[in-house]
Amino acid sequence: MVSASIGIRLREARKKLSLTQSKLAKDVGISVSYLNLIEHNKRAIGGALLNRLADKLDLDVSKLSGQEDARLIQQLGELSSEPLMHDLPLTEKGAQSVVSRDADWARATIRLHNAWRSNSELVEALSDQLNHDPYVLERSHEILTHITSVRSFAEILDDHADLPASQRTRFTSMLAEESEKLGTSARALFRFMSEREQNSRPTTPADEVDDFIIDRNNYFPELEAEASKLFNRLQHSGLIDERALIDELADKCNLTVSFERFSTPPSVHRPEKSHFVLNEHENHLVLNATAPHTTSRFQLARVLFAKLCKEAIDTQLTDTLLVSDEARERAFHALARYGAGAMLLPYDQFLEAAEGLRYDVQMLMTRFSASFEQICHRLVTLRRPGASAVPFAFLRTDLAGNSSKRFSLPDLRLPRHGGACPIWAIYRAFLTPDRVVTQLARLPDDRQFLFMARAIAKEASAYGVPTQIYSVMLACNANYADRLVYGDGIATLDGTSATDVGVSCRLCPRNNCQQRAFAQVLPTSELSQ
Amino acid sequence: MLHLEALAPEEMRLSYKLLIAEDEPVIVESLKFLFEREGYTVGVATDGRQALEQLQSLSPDILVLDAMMRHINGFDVLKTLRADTSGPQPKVLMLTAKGQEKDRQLALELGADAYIAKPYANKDVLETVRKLLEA
Repeated sequence: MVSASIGIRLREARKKLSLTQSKLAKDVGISVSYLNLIEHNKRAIGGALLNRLADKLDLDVSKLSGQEDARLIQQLGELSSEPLMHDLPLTEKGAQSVVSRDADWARATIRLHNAWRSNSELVEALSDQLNHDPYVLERSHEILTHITSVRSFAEILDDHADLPASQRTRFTSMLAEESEKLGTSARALFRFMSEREQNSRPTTPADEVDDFIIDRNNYFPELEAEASKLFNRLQHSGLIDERALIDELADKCNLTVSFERFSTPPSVHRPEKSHFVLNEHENHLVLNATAPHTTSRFQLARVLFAKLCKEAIDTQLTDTLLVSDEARERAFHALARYGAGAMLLPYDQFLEAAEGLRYDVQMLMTRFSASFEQICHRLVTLRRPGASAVPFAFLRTDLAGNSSKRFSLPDLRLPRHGGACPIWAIYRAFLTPDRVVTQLARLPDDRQFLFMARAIAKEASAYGVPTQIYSVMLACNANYADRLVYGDGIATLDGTSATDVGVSCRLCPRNNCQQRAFAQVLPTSELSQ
Repeated sequence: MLHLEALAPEEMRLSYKLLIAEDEPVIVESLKFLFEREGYTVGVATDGRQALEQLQSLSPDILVLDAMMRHINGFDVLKTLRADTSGPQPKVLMLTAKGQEKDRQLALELGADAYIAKPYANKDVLETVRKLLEA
């Protein structure tokens, strides 16, 4: 095995240097036919000849000894034993060839294989934990036992009309008791699963911020109060215009503002920053001159809110859900955006208009001089106890399916990693940019949601700068459909016009779905055990 | 069982002995009611150990066996029962919350004659027991 790869490597190296067999053979003092035999792995070599060949071909003799190759070939060979590869004719000869020709590609493949194996083991362990958790098993067994009793006694009472009164009373009472116990066990299991989900630590700062916002139900009364004060001070005829914001920044923050053309985005990490640069040292804010008016106004409001209400924002950041510094920084920016939205779209006026216009986002855009995304974002934050709007989930995705903003509902958990169900309106909306796409979606458990999505393109700031394209979706339980203009003609709760969807392929049990991209991680039968 | 052929069905069942091995009292009560109403002579064991004892003392024609029981589980009861070829060999119906195919397969491999997952319909249980006894 080892000598085989030496021959191939010698030949490759010779060709790379454009040496003929006869030239090399002459240089190292052997016959052409002998070199030919070596290159075709028909003669083993070592010692002085190997050193001479390595020297002439500028190769590392220790690598030529073949030990590393042998290890790589063996590790590549392990791939062929994976069931996933069963239909590929992977041979040892092929592995030798790959290692000899490009050892780095072999190393990359092996590294990927090791990572895949490690992740597979992790998934298996997690599935195992879920399926064999003693508490879950015990509660599940309890629930099945209670259901069995309830069903059996109900059938007895139904099938045996001639039961003596005392027995009928006893069985009825047992039926009631078992029903009560069933409820208790089911609630205990639900509570356990919910707590486990809450206790699972987020893995990235972005996840920490998501959890923090979800925990607060995306409603921050202290920030609303600050935003309301600013609105009352700066509004004119119910709106805050750019001029008022620029003046306030100058008066209260000593900050000057200019509009310039950006040739490249100032930050590749935070695409939303591509529309402004804040120079703290010079107390100067530069806004993108080519950005839409709604964007400039929002960025001005955001900077103003962050400057004037820093204390109120910082108070929120002491939340224990925000563990890392990066998460706190991200949360600061998220809350500054929240404040800007609350300032420009003040709670009471905006809620009243939303209800009055039946959540027609287009009309709200006109009424409040705001963008589609700003309106959708604000609608999700209208969660004041006693004066809340229709509860919406919010999702923003790009063309590749990456979710960049997400807010789930208790009964509609949006996938944290990777794309959602490809049938969702949010992806269909890319086919008809700037047009609202509605969808009555039915999840595998028969719950129905009204989806409303629109693809939006954020104008490029200069030639050569890629246009940012997103699709934004609002989703609410279909029970609210009659309060929304988007429910007109679509929401029939009998499900006849509903589209069957999932949440994501990995979690979806619809095996006959034509759009399935991945197999379900846990089979339905195991999930329900 | 040729000596029973001259009897009416109810009388036949009356002469059959059935052992319920189940640790949930409410399920025992409903099953006992159903089988007694059908005319069987019913014994009850509330854990695996009792089940093995009563198999010896009662010599039932059929054992209705739960899989998850205290002390000795239903699969082990079944294994012990089938391993003792010198003793009586009743028909065995497993009634269990473990509804996965691998559990059903295991039960049948260990010698169960039928397997029904909970929650079951009463009529399915009664019908299966009838068929096992007629087989």
